[in-house]
Amino acid sequence: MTHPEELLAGYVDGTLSAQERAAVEAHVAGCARCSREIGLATSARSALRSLEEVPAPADIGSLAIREASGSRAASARGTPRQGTPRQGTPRWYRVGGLVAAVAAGLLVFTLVLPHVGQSDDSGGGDQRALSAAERDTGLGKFSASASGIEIQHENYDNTSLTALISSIAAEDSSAGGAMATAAAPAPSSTRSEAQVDKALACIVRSAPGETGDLKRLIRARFEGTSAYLALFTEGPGAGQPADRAIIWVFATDDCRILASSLAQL
Amino acid sequence: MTGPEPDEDLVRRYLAGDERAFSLLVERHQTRVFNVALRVLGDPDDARDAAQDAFLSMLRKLSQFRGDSAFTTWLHRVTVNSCYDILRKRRRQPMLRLVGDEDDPIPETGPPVADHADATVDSIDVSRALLLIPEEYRVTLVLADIQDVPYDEIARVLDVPIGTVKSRVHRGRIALARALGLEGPEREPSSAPGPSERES
Repeated sequence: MTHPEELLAGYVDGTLSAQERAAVEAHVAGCARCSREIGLATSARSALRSLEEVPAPADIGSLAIREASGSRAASARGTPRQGTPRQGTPRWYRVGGLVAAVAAGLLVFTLVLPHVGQSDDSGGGDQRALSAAERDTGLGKFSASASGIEIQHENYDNTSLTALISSIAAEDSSAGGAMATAAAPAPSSTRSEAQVDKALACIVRSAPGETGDLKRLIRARFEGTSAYLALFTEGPGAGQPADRAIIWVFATDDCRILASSLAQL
Repeated sequence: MTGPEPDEDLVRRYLAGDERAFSLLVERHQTRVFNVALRVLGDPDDARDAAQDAFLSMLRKLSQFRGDSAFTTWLHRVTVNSCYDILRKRRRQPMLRLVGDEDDPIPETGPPVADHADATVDSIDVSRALLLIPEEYRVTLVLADIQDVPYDEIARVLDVPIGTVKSRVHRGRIALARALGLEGPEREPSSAPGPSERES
C-alpha cells in the first residue's frame, strides 16, 4: 500500500485543500498505520507548540552591533569600504594551540583533555570577530596563549579564590618558576573555542590594563554566578621572571568583574 | 496607521550608511534567532554562541542579500548554518561536550520520561526528546512547528525540495512522539521512520 506521507504533514496542520483532505481521509479509513501516525504526529505537534519562547540574552547581538559601528567609524575615517560592511576591519582571531603558546615564549602545562588547543580547521563558525576596540588592546596575545578552558563545578567565594591562587603560587614556586598546573584541581572537561573567546573578550573589556601572561582560563561559579576565572602571572618587566599571580573573575553574562585575587610567587 | 518598517528597508538603510538600522534588525530578530538555536542545539550557551555567530554572519553577508527572498528566510538560513557549525564541532570533538554543567537547564543526554500513560508531557520532556531525533528532522520541526515557518519557505532555507520538507516534518513528528514515549504497545516496528527519507 502506498501511504500519502507528504500529505500527512499538511493533514495534521490543517493546511490541505478540501480535495487533498478527502483523499487522505479515504486512505486513512482503510490504513491503520497512517491512522496511528496521524495520532502520534498530532500529539507531537501539540507538544512542540506548547514550548514557550525563551527570552534572548540581552547582549546577544552586541558583538555584531559593535562590529557594525566599528566598520562605520572606519568608513567615516576614510577606510575604503569594499563589498561587505566588515571590509576594512577583517581581522579574525583564532584560539591558538600549545605550539603557539610555546612559540610565544610561554611555558604552559595543561592537563586538560587531549583536544585542548587543537586548531579547528572548519569554516567560518570557528572564527570569532572582535570589535575594533578589543583588537586594539591586543587580544591576539591572549588568544595565542590560551590553549583551552577548564570547566570546574566549584562555586568559589573570596576565601576559596584566595586558597586557589595561593595553592597555584605554591606550586609555581616548587616548579621553579614555571606556572605548572599539573597539581591543580583536575578540570572536569573543556569547552569549545567559543567559550575561550568569550573569556578572552571579558579580559580585554573589563581588565584592559592587564599586561601579564595568561596562564589558565577556568569556567566555574563565583558566589553562585557563572564566571570566567583568568589567571595571569606578572613580573617587573625588563626580562625579569614573574613575581606575582593574579586571578580575575568575570561574570559570563556581561563580563563585569566579580572579584580578583593577588598572590606573590 | 503604518506598520513597522519592513526588514528589507532596514537592510537598505544599513547598506546606505545608517548603522542604527542594523541594531533594529538585531533587536527585531534576536528572540527568534536565539530560540531556533536553543531548540536545535538544546544548550543555552551553545545557542548563545550560535546566535552571536549568526548575527556576525548576517553583518558580514548583508551586502549579499539580494532581496529575492524574504529577509527572514535568509536569516533563518544563516541561523541554521550557525547551528550546523556547532553540531559539526560536537561530532568532531565529542570529548569537549560538557557533562553536568549546572548552567544547563536542558540536560545533554538521557532519555525523557519514558512512561506517558496519560499522554501529557512538559516542556523539559519535549526539549529533551527533540535532542534524541535526527538533526535534519529536528531542524525542520523547529522551523515548522515552533517558528511557524511555511513549508515552502523551509524548503528555501534548507535548499531542499518542498516534498522533502513535508516528509521530514511528518517523520520528525513520529520520531518525536516515540521519543516522548507517546506510542502505545501496538507499535509496529516495521513502521518506524528511520533517518533515511525519500528525497522527493
